[in-house]
Amino acid sequence: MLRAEDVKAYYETRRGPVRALDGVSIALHENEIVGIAGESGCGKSTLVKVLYDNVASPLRLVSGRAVLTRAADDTSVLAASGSIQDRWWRDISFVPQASMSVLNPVVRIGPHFRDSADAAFRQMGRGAFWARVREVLSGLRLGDDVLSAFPHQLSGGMRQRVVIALATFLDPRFILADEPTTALDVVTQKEILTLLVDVQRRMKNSLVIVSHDMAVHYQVTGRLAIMYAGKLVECGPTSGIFREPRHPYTRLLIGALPRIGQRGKLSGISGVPPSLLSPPAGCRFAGRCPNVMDRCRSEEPAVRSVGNRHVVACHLHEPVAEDDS
Amino acid sequence: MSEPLLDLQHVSRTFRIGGLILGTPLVAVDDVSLRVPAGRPMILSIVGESGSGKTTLARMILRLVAPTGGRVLLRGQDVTRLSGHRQLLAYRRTVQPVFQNPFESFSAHRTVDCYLFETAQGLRIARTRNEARSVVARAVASVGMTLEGVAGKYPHQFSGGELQRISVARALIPGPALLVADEPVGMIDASLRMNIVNAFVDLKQDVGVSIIYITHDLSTASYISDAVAIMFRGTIVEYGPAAAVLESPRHPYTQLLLESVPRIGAKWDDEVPAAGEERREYELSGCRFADRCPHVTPECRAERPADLALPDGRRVACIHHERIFGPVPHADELHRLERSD
Ligand SMILES: Nc1ncnc2c1ncn2[C@@H]1O[C@H](COP(=O)(O)OP(=O)(O)OP(=O)(O)O)[C@@H](O)[C@H]1O
Ligand SMILES: Nc1ncnc2c1ncn2[C@@H]1O[C@H](COP(=O)(O)OP(=O)(O)OP(=O)(O)O)[C@@H](O)[C@H]1O
Ligand SMILES: [Mg+2]
Ligand SMILES: [Mg+2]
Repeated sequence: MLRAEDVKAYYETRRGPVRALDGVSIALHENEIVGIAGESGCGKSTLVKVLYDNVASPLRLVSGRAVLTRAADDTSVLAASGSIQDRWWRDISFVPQASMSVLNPVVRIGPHFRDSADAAFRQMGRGAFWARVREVLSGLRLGDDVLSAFPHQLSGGMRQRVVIALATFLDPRFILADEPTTALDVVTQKEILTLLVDVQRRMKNSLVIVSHDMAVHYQVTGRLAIMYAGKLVECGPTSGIFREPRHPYTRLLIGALPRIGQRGKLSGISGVPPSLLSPPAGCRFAGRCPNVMDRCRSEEPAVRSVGNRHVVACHLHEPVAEDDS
Repeated sequence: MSEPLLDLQHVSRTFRIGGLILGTPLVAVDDVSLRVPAGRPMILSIVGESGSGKTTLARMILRLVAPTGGRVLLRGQDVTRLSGHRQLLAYRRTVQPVFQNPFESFSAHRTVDCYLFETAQGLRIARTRNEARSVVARAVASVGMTLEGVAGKYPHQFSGGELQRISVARALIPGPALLVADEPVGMIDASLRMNIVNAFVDLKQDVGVSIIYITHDLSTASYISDAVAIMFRGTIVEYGPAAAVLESPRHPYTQLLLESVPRIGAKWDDEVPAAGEERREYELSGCRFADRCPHVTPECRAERPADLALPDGRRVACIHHERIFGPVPHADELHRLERSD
């Protein structure tokens, strides 16, 4: 299991700390697909960085921690802020946002595999290493010939599949994919997402998909976390969240985009998120919330269970016991 | 005055990849014709496959890339043949870009209003600071913000959506007739995305600006466009009124595109057809969709399908569209048309 425990992570800037994560807890279990959704700038990529232990200046882990627990030997590994430990990255792999630019344009695809896993190369030996790379490529419907191609010779979809191969060929237990399909057309997006889900089913590891597209989450994730302005506002089974979203922000987010052919004006969610330099007291969504009450502006809502593994941070919801599933 | 605002006539662009001499040619844009009329503002969306030539087309309109074939005419004048300061200035006052990533359009070390004033003065829209002030204020107001709210702030003090609206405002300063927006909402989430596309609709209706909107988001394209062009491997496979193309497609690629849009409430369950290798599809001499098309016949591979003009104002490059999608409807029957599968 990979957990973030009450993480506060701030970007230090000249005008003060940007509170990109302000007390966020989330647990990722084995063999599941978890989505992370929320507005641009709400802290999604920052959360992934913390989970991957890729915390470097100006980002600072102010409090809380990331913990990786192995079921097999029951040991815990703590993220040591500032360095990606050898052990850590073999268990967790990361597909960064805008990942197509991760590929070095003047280097052929083959050496990218070699360079990204030097330790594994030495450990496995040349033969086993390349056999494994080929196996993973063919699982992603790429031929061996891509190894000798330069990135620009591949289409966007093929490049993205190469990046996924890079992230998965060492059989990590956790794959963190930050906006893996945002820059792609919908046909290629569907292909990539279907492949990612396939890989996850085969490896039975756990996959985290960050996306601001709620329809993507509906299609592929089993559990969904929704963030707003550095906070987790709702988290639960994807089907439950779409059936009955509990947080007003989640509800608005689901209905924000028009369907093709829909007539009439849609205005999105009015207003803008608060500054993370000086977030307001109380609920951070209060300023835009259609259901706002007096206490929302002064009292911060706690994360509470609404049953069925579903939690929400909103004063509209009184706590219930967890056993009502 | 009958001259169209923008007239793309058989525009092509070939790149050489892997070296000028030994490299192989790649036809990124292949014989594209499109038109934006003068005096009747419209929003034209260009959607299609990643790598199909949309950005290259936009860059040709913006004079950032020269066509290797065909002509780009702005009010009848070839944009590659502008000469002298006056013509260039007139061009830049007429056509303005909005780029995908607003954080790249603005310098991180300067306040955004500084940049807005510079645009106003650089394009000689205003001679004095006071004149510039009212021009900038008007542009900022037309995207729903105020100059007071923007002044003195640096790019990172805005959200992505706000900054994108400011870059739209910047583009509006010279009072352009045409905005070329290449994936202006790609990085932006649903709620801010609606802000920006609604701003586009208002600009068209209230200010009379035409907009070329390049996007992968078919739902906002359907929401704001008058016309849609679907690009695939350098060519336009279908073009026409937005409702016709996006609600009753007549090209198999358009149909595949629409079926691939993730929808809330309807889960994917079908097999996904594998994309062909990009280079190979660019090199096909017949229809470039042939390798993936479920309706392919040998004729499809024989020669490049011609653009067929249909009565509802659409053009489609598929010789089998009637066999696949049924008889062509008349324009007035369109709203009753059922999707055929
Ligand atoms: N290097 C940095 N210095 C200062 N602030 C930063 C830095 N990187 C990110 N931020 C701020 O931290 C907040 C969270 O950023 P993060 O990248 O996690 O957002 P996100 O949810 O991934 O957004 P997007 O959907 O746009 O990718 C934002 O307000 C952002 O402006
Ligand atoms: N300067 C260049 N040199 C060589 N090839 C190029 C150049 N610019 C673009 N290409 C190629 O031309 C083709 C079309 O690219 P373009 O960027 O126009 O596509 P696009 O439709 O905008 O794609 P996306 O949806 O991914 O933005 C691609 O195969 C691309 O690799
Ligand atoms: Mg991000
Ligand atoms: Mg592009």
